[in-house]
Amino acid sequence: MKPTRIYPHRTNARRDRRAGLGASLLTAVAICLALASQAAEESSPARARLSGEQAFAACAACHSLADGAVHKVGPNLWGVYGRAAAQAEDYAYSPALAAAGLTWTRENLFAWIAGSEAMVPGSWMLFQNNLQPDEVMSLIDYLAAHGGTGGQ
Amino acid sequence: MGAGLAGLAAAQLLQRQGIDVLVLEARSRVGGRVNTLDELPGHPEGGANVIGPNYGRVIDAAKSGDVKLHSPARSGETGFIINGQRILPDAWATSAANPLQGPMRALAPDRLLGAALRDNPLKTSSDWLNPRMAEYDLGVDSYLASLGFSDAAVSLVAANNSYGNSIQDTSMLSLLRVGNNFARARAMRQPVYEAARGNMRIPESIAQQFSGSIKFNVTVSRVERSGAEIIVQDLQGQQYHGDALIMALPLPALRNIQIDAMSEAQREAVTAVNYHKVTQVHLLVREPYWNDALPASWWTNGPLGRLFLRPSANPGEYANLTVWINGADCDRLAAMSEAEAGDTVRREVEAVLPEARGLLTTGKVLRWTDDPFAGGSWAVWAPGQLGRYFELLQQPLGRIFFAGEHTARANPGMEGAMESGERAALDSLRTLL
Repeated sequence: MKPTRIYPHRTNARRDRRAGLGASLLTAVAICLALASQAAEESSPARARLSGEQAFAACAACHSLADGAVHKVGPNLWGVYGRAAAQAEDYAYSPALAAAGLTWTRENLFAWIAGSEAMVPGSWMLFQNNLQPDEVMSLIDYLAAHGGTGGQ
Repeated sequence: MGAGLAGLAAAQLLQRQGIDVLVLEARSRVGGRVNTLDELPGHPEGGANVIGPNYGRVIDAAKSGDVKLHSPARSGETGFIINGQRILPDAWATSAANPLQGPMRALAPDRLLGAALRDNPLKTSSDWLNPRMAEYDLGVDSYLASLGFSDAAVSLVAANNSYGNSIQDTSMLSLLRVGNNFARARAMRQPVYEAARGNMRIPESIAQQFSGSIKFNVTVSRVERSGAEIIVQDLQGQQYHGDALIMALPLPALRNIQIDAMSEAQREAVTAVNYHKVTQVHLLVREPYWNDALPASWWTNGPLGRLFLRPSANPGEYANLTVWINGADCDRLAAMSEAEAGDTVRREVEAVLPEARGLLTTGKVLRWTDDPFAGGSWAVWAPGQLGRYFELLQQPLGRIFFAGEHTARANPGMEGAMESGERAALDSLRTLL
């Protein structure tokens, strides 16, 4: 079989020549627009939102999530949603969090993830990885789906 | 780019999210500034050494890789050598060579900084970056003077400052930041750790579990963007193409790479921030020179810096005496050959510790400042630099992201490296989904 050869540039050039100046201008404008959007793509590419599961990658070094999994540097988070704070068994919480009297409602979890050290001065969790507010909401949904109790 | 803890943490996170990752590493090993000296008895650390109990990412990496952690062996009390004169720890407060006055005389030289950090105005791990704390962005000398430290006390703190090459050029914020982190670790009432057989086992274990590929001995010279593609070129002209790039390199290494898209302001930031000068001379100790009346470890205000004894792991094995030299004191050794530098330091140690004569051999000289892929131990922030440069240094260029200990907000050291890798990985992931 004979290979088919395609010369798209030549075809376009021929068409442009036939169509005259107007088409050339249009082409130039189109190229400019394409270059501009390419430049925009280079300097600020589209940013998707992390799902709750993806956002949990920023938690997973310090927190296990499966039912009955061992504590890491932070406590196991199975069932944390809706529970009173500092209640995981066999985990040594900071005195500050233990005395804070918090319940892990959606609102409190949001404030905690957004700024735990400011929310409970003297608490030990360090978290500084720039999750966006809607990503934190997804993360809370993800936590709630792992043994969470109470109304969402 | 970079198979230190920052780069490896980023690579591992992205790979677990289903992204194809290639790691380029300039050295022939992983670990970067984690560098256990496996060729010496007892696997002493030539780089990163302390793992705090709050180092969640580092501890998790060790545990999930079956790397055992233990508390470092205790090396006993520390003696002091002030202007060449030896002072035993018990004699410090009353010694004529103690240059301090009043109640401060009771504070050992290596405790002075801790005393200055006790009333720490920083309350959270990121307060050091808070513009409201800018009043503490001044030289450590000025801050200590404002606390009532005498010139003699300030110069003792300056003698072994780990966070700058001179005390005037060290922002107090960087010391307060480290103090805040240590205070939190102490509050946890758990020990500090090191990895059994060396901290290097941790990056090795991450690399072993990483199923992408790591290419060694690749020194990148240029990074450019072409459309949505990023092209990385090494010194041999080999090109690597990708959709996103994480540059997890210390600034002195970053300075050697031409990055086409970088702004003047960002280039200035990359150039302006200095790295701490550290030279370590590891001496092997055949048998103890120390005894109940003579400490093994010494703190000096002279060119030897600090002498840390690392006891032998097994009876009959060599112990390690690490001579830890900071700042400008490294300069005179930089001009010498490695053998010459090692012998010079060994002879000087023997001059102040004649009991050790004949018991010491030079094991290894590590000059971090001369290491082209490190350029020093870590970033030092001079007064005025945090506000100007910190954010710029991690500002992405499209899909080029920056990581490394110098970009970490909450944690210093190894944990900071992994924190920064995690942040850059999540940032890049958002652009790849």
